[in-house]
Amino acid sequence: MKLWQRNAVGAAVSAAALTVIVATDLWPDWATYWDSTHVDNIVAVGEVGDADGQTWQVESIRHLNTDLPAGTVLNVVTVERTGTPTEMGCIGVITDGERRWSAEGVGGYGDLPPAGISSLCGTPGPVQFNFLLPGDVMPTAVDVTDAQGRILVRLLL
Amino acid sequence: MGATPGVGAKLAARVRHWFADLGFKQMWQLVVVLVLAVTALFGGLDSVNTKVTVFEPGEDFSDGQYTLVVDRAALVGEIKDGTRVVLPEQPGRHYLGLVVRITNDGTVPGNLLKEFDLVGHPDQRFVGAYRMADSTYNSALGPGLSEELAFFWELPDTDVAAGQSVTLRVWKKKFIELFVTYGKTWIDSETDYGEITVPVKARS
Amino acid sequence: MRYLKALVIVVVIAAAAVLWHDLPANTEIYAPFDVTADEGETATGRNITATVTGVQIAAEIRPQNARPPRFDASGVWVVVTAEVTAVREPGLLRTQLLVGPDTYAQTDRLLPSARLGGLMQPDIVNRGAWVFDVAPEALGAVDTVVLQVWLGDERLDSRVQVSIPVGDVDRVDSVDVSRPVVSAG
Repeated sequence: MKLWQRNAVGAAVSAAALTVIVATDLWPDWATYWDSTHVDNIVAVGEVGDADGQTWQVESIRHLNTDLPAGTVLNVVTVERTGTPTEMGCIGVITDGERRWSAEGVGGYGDLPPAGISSLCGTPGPVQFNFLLPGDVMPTAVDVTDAQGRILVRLLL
Repeated sequence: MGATPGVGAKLAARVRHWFADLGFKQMWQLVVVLVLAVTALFGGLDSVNTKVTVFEPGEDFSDGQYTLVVDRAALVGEIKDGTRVVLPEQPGRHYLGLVVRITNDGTVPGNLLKEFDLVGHPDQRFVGAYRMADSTYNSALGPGLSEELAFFWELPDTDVAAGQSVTLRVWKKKFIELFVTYGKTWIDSETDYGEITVPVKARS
Repeated sequence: MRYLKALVIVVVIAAAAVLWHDLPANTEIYAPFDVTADEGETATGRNITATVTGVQIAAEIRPQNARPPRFDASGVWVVVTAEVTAVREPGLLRTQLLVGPDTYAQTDRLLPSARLGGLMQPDIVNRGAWVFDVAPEALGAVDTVVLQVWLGDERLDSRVQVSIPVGDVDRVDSVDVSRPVVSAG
């Protein structure tokens, strides 16, 4: 074989190996990072939106002030949902455009949700997130993310 | 290669002949040897023979990370510290307690939960390690610290009786750099361990 | 000519093996970026703000509402009181104490709820104590101990580092350890 033919074969093999490395090792981590910082599904204020095979809408936001650490407010956000859930669990995140806070877990501040409403996304029906925020924060959106931080839907407040 | 071209050329010719004379099977054997040699160069060969060190109660044993001395073993139904319940009484089960003085000779905190393997009792649950001095839970030991601890396993109460013996293994450890993740940590050897057989005292 | 090529191949493989045995450790490649401060000063990293407010050395601690009420150390207790908050996003609080070549983690004898820890959220300040059980020989052999504090995964992220001169630390018989207090701003 001539030199240029051998070089072409070598280049093709290298390209194939590089593609495999990127696809199996680098791409999944990059995609997770991309999905945790960029949102595809944004639901405008007061609207209903589609994401992940379900429809999402903010039903209510309550601000509670009793029995909490000094200077903090508890924002209880209830999200109306229809459809069958695909995620086993989800993490609620509230943001003011720059900073992000995650929702209280079991045993955290705020009461457990009433019957029929859950704080995880595994069961059908509405979802309730309790967010403990400093009193001077103006939240702009609630993100529903999966366990790895990929944003499923952003609900504007 | 200017000094003795004659010798060099003869050696090269001999090597060439040797290669040319190799049969198919011998060529493959040569390939295997070369692959093994390169693997060894890159640190890929490990020993597979197990090495057991038997030690006795009262005798010092070092696993690389810890130095320990096993004092005694006993069966207990429950452990209380005054009114505080440390290990609750459970019907049909009892606890095997192993009293050990152990010192962390390393430079990082050590977790003792997997230090001892209780051999030969499949229905076991390791409960934890507790400080003999005040019965508080203490399953981690910082570098340079030495403590007398009681390790407890929960077993069916038909499993071990007073007067019998139990056998425990302590795997030897090495402090190595983690390649895939991050940092240095103690890793159990896959082949070397210490073994001790301890007589079990009566339930108290 | 063939033998020269074979020789070159052998040399390259040998050089690769030598290099492989001497690669930089992951701890160097992915090392965190340390933000240093003294006791009493506030250090701010990318996502963490921390201030060490006090350090004490004691033989015994009395954690709030603990059973038993007093804990003796295996070595000696080093109790560090501090306040910590996240800046941009939530993160799990992690800390360790470096005493010479040794690294110490918080003692597991206290319940997690008794010590400063858990998920830190932006602008929500957590005040509490970290308790380390340290070998007295190690403490006696050094002039300063170094406290490192970070949130979540420290690789290529900020880490707060506070140097504490051992000679300046109060040595007391007993320290009361209160549960952490949370407040905003």
